[in-house]
Amino acid sequence: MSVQQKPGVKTSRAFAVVRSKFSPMTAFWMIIVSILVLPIILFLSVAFSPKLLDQGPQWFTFSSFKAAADPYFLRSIWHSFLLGVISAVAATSVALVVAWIVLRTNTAARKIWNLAIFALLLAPSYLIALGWERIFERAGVLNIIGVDLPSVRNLLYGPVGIGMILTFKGIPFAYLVISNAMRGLGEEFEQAVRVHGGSRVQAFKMMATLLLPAIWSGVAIVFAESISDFGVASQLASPGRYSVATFTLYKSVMSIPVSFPLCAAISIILLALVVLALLAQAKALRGRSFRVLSGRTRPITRQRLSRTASLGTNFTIYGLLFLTLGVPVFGAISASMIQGLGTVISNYQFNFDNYLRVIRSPLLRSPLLFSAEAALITASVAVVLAAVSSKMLVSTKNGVGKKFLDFFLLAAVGLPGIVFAIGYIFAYNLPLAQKFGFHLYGSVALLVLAYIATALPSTTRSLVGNMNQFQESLSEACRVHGFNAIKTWVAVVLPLISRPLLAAWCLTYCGTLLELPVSQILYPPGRAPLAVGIDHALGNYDFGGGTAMEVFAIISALIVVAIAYGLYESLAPRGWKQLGKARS
Amino acid sequence: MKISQKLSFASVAIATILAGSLTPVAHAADAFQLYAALDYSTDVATAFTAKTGIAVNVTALSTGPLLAKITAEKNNPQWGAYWADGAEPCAAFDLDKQLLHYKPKGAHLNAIGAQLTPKSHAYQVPGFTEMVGVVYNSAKVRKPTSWDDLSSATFKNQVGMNNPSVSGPTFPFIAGLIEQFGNEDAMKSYLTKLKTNGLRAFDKNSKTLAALNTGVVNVALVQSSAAITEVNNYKAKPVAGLKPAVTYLDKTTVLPSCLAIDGKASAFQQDAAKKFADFVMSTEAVSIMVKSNTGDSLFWPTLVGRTPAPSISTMPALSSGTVQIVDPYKYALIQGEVQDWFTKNIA
Repeated sequence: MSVQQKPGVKTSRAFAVVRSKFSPMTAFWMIIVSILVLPIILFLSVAFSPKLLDQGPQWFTFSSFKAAADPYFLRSIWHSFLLGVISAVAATSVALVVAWIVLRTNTAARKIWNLAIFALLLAPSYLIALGWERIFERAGVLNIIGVDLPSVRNLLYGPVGIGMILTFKGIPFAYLVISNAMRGLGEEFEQAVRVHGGSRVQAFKMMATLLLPAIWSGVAIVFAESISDFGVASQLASPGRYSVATFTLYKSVMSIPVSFPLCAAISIILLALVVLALLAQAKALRGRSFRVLSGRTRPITRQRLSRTASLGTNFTIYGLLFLTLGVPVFGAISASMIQGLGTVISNYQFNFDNYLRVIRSPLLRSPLLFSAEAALITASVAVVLAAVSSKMLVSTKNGVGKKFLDFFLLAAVGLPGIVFAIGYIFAYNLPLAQKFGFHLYGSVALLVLAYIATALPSTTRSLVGNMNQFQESLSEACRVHGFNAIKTWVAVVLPLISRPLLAAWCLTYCGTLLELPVSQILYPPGRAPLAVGIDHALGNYDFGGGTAMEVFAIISALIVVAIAYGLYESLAPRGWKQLGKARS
Repeated sequence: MKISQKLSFASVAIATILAGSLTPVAHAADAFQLYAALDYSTDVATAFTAKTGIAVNVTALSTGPLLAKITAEKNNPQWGAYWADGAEPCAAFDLDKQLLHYKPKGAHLNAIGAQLTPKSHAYQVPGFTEMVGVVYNSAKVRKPTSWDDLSSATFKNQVGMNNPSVSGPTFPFIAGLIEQFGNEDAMKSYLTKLKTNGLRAFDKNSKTLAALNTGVVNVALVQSSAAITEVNNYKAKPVAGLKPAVTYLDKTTVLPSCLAIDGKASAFQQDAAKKFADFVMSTEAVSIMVKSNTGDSLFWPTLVGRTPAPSISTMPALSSGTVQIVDPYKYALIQGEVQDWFTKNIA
């Protein structure tokens, strides 16, 4: 006798089967594969199989690698590698010292640094380069006052100048990562060194060792950001005839006719450099534990500096701010407020015409609002995904998934944005996908997904240092006392990483607001993002107007950051704000 | 699971975005897709919509990103028509059998227009500019008189030009040099001589002119429309020490603005593109194009009886011997190789 099942029972069983197979981790991997892996893989596959995406006649070939092995391309890749290493090491070293000064001493300059860090983060690399150019170029500021330094000018348009600016641009990334981790490091370790007769330098070394995961994260981010930077490459490397990989790639992408197989081959070589960075990071951290964040973490007491030390630290911070922020501000002012700088001796005009014109124009308003909305969504989603990703990256299990995620997260930031955007066209303009009703290409949704994918690597790396400090025993204790997973996360994890999450959110918001390469290739018709509007103004010989738009964008982002921190300070529970707080 | 909540948030957010994308987009289906690199394209598209009721989505970018998009979309093209300065990319598309040949209705072309338009009507040419306009700061340097003069000691470290690998309109200038110097080697030798004399290469018109404005160079080789705009800007708002003026050396090369229709587009796109081509090649559209009297609007129309924008001089005549037309189908074949040489040796 057969037993007939009720239809409802059958449905609920089927649903249960699907639910059991579709875990949150499945959802996570689906997202990662869709927004990160697929576009990268499809773009790179063109190097071996141009026919696959109609980019050439061959199904399988290595011919594009032969072209990429041209001495010119190899030289530019080598230059990028060198600049990446130098800027990563220099920026991280400076950031470590600055973080110690700002977080562990009572130096007066610490307050201004905390305000300036996001401005520094926001300053586009081309604006920093422009500021330096304006000072040293022929008929620049120094020339106007009668000083001609051709040898310094030549240095600026070469590896020294490019490396210096990439270092300046890298400092805020490294600082955010290291300072967040330093906040989670109580002072008991340094005290232990001192109690046992160690010097201050030895105590600093101990602290630096405990911060290694964050330091390596900082190195990895700055390295990847430097080798994929386009602003400095375009502003200094190109006129200085110092070839770097990004500009070579950009020129290959923009060349007529475009050769994507060649670009993909160059990208693969560039990614090999990223693998080197990953291997170095893995080797340095293997077999060590950095889990210092526990219930017994003690608040820090700021070191009272002597008069001389105070003067020294103030000088360091203000000097650094002048170099990193003062010069780009001068670049922005010279470009947007001064007409004819460099062509006149004493009779230049200084006015706010460009700003007034931009305020009155709708060309700024709608792109600014559109980009702000996109940046808001991007930052919010990216921070959630980054929290999960960083947790996976610091997991003690050394599985394939972790390595896979690690590689693609760094690959995404190591590849220039324009290449990434082309990968999105390859992935989401497939006729097959459109047959199934996925009309993602040309939509706001795809642009935002690409923004999320572009932001995810930096956002994740910025949280790795903190996640590495977190002791699992805290969560386990909570679970033992009857809390479920969600309550545990809210009660234990969130308070400890809330400030780093906020910093990561701000970092992503700022980075997305002025993002150009992905915006340019993927923006939906009629919805131009801010960076495209600015590029359009600059392209139409409105150099002053374009820079004024950029300055407005930076100010708007600083306001958003101030609001975010203001809300955190006023709404977050007091306990959340305790971590990393120092006693003066 | 500890991270389930975070994943749920992320999943919901991503799902929302994806759901948004699945709603019908005013994209390929119900709007004509125009990829354009000219300032006035949006105004022309608006007028076209007002006249025909056909909605137009304008993707407005410079030539490089537009061509990169088109190439990346090759296995599933999304564009209905492409409109930019420079005939070589259109010739390359045509050689690759990507274009729909179409002769616009009612377009009466003048002598240059007839020569610029291919016999096959692979693309339309509503107007043209010249490559290059030589802008010089007359407050700092004298007027250059010839290509040889430009490579003399007088102009040492004074000259800047666009990089043809990045600037769409600059390759026709290089092609023009090959044409008038007789062969590719002569062109390379001349540019190498300029390089030895301190030539600097910048990305595109705007960057080269920015270098002129800041005194980094005092002579800029740019598109004629950019050159005239520069002069007009500083006439309107004079700045001491900067007096840009334009001149043309020996022979200049005609740079056509070209409108091409995608041969693989849907019937709707092709039909709309044909109507758009008819409109662009009408006196009504030309009036809109020249209206702003600055930037890209400073071109010479190819339609009989149409006059250019007020800021622009009289039509250059082929009979004068000072302008030349190069064959885009011939030069499209060597564009990649020549640009590669420029990047490695001059830029």
